[in-house]
Amino acid sequence: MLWWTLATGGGSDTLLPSPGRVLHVLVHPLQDQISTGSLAWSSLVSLARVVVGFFLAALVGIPLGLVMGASSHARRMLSLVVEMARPLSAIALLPLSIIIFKARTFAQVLGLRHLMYQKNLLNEMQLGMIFILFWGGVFPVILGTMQGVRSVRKIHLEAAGILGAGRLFTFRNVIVPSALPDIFHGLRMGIGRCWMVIIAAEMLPGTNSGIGYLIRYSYQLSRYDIMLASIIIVACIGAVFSRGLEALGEKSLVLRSRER
Amino acid sequence: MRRLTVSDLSVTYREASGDVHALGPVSFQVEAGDFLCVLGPTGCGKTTLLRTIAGLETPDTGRVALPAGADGREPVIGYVYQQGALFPWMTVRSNIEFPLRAAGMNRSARREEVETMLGTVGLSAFGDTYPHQLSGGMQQRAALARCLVMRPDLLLMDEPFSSLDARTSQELQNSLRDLWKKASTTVVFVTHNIEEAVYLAEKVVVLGHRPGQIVRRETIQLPDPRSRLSGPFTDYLVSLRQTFESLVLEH
Repeated sequence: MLWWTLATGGGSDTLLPSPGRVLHVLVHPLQDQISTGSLAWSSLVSLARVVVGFFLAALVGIPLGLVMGASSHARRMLSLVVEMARPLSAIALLPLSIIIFKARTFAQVLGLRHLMYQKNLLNEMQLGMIFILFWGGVFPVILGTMQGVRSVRKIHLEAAGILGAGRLFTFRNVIVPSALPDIFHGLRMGIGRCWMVIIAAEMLPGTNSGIGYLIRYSYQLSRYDIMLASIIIVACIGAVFSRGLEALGEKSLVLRSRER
Repeated sequence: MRRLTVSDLSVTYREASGDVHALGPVSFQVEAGDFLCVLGPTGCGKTTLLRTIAGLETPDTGRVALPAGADGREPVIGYVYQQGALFPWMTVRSNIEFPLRAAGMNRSARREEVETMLGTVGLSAFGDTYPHQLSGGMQQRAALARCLVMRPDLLLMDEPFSSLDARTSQELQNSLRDLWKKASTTVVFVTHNIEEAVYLAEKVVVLGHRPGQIVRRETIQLPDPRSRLSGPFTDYLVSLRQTFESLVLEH
């Protein structure tokens, strides 16, 4: 911090802005920046995209992972598809995704035409973007869940059987709870990936909203104070996501790690 | 038929490195309500025998005839592992409730059964704790309770006290013997501990080294309450110890 302050001449204009100017941007989150919306609005747009995309990834990934973990038949059939699809970077799919989904937004799909020219979150939810977020998030969730199901201890399955539990009962009361720590791990990895994907995607041409866009646009206008402030926000939100899910999964993790 | 009959049972594990003949052939019977200890050195196939009776392993030859359940229904089997079979994500209460929920018993009846069972094994104050918060001995009490709550026709126990310290192990032996006296369930208890076998059992069979075959059958005739210090108790101990020694020499 000290080095940063000294290197930037304590406020006079150099290549990098002083900490004071970055702080100034950070403490005025509602002020419109370079006519793209405020820091808060840009963050909210990115957050909303990630939450929706990640929610879909979890919605599809967890059941798929459970099935792939529980049935070797399903695993054989699906793992080839997953292994081929997984290395395909979500960013690489963005142009294709935009071609397929056009520039359609949630507002359009829902038929809310009157929203089109208003400042509304639904206008910022491009289907193509949601799709690549889904793509970025779904594989860690699938793999984590599958791993969790497969690492259920044999003795617990056997004991459940002797205690008279049927297949479905065992699945719900033994397999799922014992896989929970790994499922949470997968979710954490997934939301981390989503957050990286959205920032990168928003920096590509064709977008004009979101915190990633703010980083790129402020860079183009040489407003490095806004750029650095945005980067700090990106880091903070990423950490909150990760920590939040960690806290949620904490209880199940503690129980399993203390097992004798 | 109310007795457990094991006839000419022989088990071989097929492994990549070749077949391992783990057990047998062995034959024995356990009368309804009797307490049998299967005593044998490590690796003699005791656990294999127990797992085969429970239907967890398939024998090559021979068969197991389980005692029929009450009213001719399928017999209920309880199985207590050496350790670690409690579900760590459930409280002790939920663990004991598990088989009752699986059987579809309604909530209030379940609660009642579980509370009674917690009292029976001396864990009334620990219903809401998780297994990892309990000592090893208490964990095994909980595991036993989870089996007993099903009112098993046959209770199989695989060295359930062997990982506990001597004192705790004795306490649990005392409790088990008392519980068995009251419930009169048929028990097959596997152990390598001679004293444990003499204290607990009505009948003892001794298995020799792998592939385990019965080298001795003994009936323990000691009055209750059994004292570990009495002369007759020590006589059984010495006699069985001699059988063990001869096994080691043979080996």
